[in-house]
Amino acid sequence: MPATSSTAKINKFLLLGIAALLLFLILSVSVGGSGVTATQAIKVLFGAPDAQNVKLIVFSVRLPRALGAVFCGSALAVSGLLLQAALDNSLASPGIMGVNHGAGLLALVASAILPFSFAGRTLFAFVGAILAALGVFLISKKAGVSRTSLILSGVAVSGMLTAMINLLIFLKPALVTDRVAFSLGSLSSVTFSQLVIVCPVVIAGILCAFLLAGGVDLFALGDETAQGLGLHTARHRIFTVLCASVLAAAAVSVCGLISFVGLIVPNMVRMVSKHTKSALLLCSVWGGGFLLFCDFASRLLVYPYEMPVGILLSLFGGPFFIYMLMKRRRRL
Amino acid sequence: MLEFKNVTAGYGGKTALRIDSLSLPAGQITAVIGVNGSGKSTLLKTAVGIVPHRGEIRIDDTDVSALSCKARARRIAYLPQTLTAPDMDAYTLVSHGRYARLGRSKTLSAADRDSIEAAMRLTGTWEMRDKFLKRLSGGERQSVYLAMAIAQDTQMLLLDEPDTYLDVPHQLKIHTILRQLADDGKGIVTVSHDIAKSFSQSDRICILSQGKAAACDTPAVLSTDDRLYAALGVRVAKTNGNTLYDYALTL
Repeated sequence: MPATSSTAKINKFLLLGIAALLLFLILSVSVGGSGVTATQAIKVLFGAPDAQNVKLIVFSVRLPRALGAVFCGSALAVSGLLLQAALDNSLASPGIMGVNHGAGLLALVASAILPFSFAGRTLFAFVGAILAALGVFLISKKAGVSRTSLILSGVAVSGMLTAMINLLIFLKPALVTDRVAFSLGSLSSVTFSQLVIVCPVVIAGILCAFLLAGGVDLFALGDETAQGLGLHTARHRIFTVLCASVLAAAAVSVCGLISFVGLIVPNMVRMVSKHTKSALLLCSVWGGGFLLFCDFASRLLVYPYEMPVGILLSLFGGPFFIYMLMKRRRRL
Repeated sequence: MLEFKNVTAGYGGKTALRIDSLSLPAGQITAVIGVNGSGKSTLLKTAVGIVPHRGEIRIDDTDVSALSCKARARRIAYLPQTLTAPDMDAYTLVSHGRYARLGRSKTLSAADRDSIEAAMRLTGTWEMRDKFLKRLSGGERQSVYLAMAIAQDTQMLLLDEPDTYLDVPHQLKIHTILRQLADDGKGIVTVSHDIAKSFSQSDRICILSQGKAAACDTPAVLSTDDRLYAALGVRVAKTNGNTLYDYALTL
């Protein structure tokens, strides 16, 4: 149970996160390259009658995009937090562990087999994410379960899956409308029909994460101690990785291979909260807010054009990953 | 009481433990001794399901194999030899001792908080409850872990080398706590390499040799026969009372 001072700190960050999320949600819906002004967009949002094209842009383009950022960001951040806890490795994230790439590969395969079924694509993404996670886990187990072998296995699996994704796109370029957007992640083509499928999965995944949180806290004590305390570590770890994979897959099926959200947000949140339950709450809010902010910034930086949010995230994420590596090295 | 009957256990198809019959009673401190690889740690790990076994392990007439992980953790607490220093404060760590007893809400009840405070006060760690484990000394950290095991509120406590890397004052402090727990009716089982200390501080000694229970008796009996010498190649003798421990090693 968090001490009172840390509870106050967590509440402060939670409120701050919610405020930032709402602010960026409004900004995201208000700003764009279509000529619809912020005032028009806000009026339409709050039900004022306006021209049909304004409504169309706000409700069919900007709002799904903003909500997509919120749900995908939350899903990726929670997924990263779960993976880091389950594998006891602060460098783990769905992007680095190959989970995103597994989801992306099978989402592409689904696009080839079932070109008009987003549900099919999402389902395939789940399977891909789970297979990639299990693959990394098994390889690292064979290589000796250490933090380094786990990360290296993830990097190797990611590399292989990236090659397969590129091969598939090379052979069938029509599978993706924008190769850069898919490979780096973009929210430009999110639709409400996609969100209707993905949002319930993300909400269910986050709820499952909360149910798993009590046991997830024990992973940090080592498997033997955790087992002595009554945790079935093998089963709990599998459920945790499955939950993380489903969340990552849900995000990937909507916005492509967005990296680093699942690395940056959980590590920032862990500086505030050491308890998985409160960290999950913060990740859910800050993950959504962070991706929303990055998407908004990626649209503003080259206004009136826009660049895929993944480019900006990689610019942030690369140095952050190096910082984390250096921090670990200092600890050793 | 924890009882082993016709138990075999091991790793990767290799048998590391073969116990025909062994009883670890409640209300006493039992020290498990033996050379490296004799199966001491495996014995404890087998009792809590970390190492799979064949045969029968019973706690108070209940087969531990029939218990869920949580049900087992409500009866047997276990502390492994190697303990990590996770990024959490001492109170949080001790509160994990209540994991197997949490209700559906998964939050600590008033009774849980009382148990945690009692365990921390008993081990002298209550004052350091807000400190992070990484900031504690090895002895303090060991005491916090012991508080966690005590907070589990189990009948049996299995402790794998609970004081090996500690200085003498901390060793004595931990022994005092264990003695108090045994006097309160709990069964304490420790694995140790320190034979003289084990003979001096325990009510019973179990000698393991090549995975088998070579002898299990009181220190007074085992100090006078050859079973210790046969298993470990050393003997113990009573000291004249002016030393820290009641027994000393002899050749």
